[in-house]
Amino acid sequence: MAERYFSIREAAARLNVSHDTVSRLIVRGELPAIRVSERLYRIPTPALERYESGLAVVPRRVVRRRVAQGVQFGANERASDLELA
Amino acid sequence: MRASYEACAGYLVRVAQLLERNGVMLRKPADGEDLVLEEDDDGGLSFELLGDLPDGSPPAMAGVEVREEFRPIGADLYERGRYEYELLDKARDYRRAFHLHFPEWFEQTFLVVVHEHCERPIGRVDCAHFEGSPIKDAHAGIGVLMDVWTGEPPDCDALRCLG
Repeated sequence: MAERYFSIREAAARLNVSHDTVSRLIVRGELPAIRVSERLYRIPTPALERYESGLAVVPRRVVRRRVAQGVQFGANERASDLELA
Repeated sequence: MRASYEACAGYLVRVAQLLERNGVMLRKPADGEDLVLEEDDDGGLSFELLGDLPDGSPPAMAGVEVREEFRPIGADLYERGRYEYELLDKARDYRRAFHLHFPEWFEQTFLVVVHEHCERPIGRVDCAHFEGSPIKDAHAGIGVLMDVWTGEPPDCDALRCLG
């Protein structure tokens, strides 16, 4: 993948829709985008490809699981640095 | 951020959806599996989402990790206490991470609650912990990770080292 993001203009051309349509998709949260300045957005390529695929993002069910200890935090830390007992 | 159990569950659903909308392919939980809110012996709730960002050809060259914990502060009321947002970009050979954990230790040691990590190349740790800014929720955390991934590789030397 050469480019990791599209501008709104590039995304509009790829989707064959108008600039305004892409802007509306972003505002409605249907197309994830990163606001890099007041008028500039980056649309991550995987996000655009996901949208383009038409595959719906189906909400998943949440299950509650009782455990002695929850998710482990700090696994990527250097434990010795933290001097954790 | 404070929420009831139901609100935490709804939040987890939306966080997973945001990752998938960004094109992240979830490994944990895998496609079709339920999301899990783990409830520990102290009544805290936590979740972990792991995935990969595709970059054109398998295997995916960037890993994404999102962890959060909500501690109980009242009857059916939880407060977000810890988070970890991680990006391991193997294609461009760097790691960025944004953490809030072990807050007492970090406050005592560095007078801060949150910190960041920056490794470029991956595994090169010139500074164990960098100064960071609080991230208000996982939606913002995912935005930060995607901002990093779509941007230029990080300049770790430009960050302020805590030690």
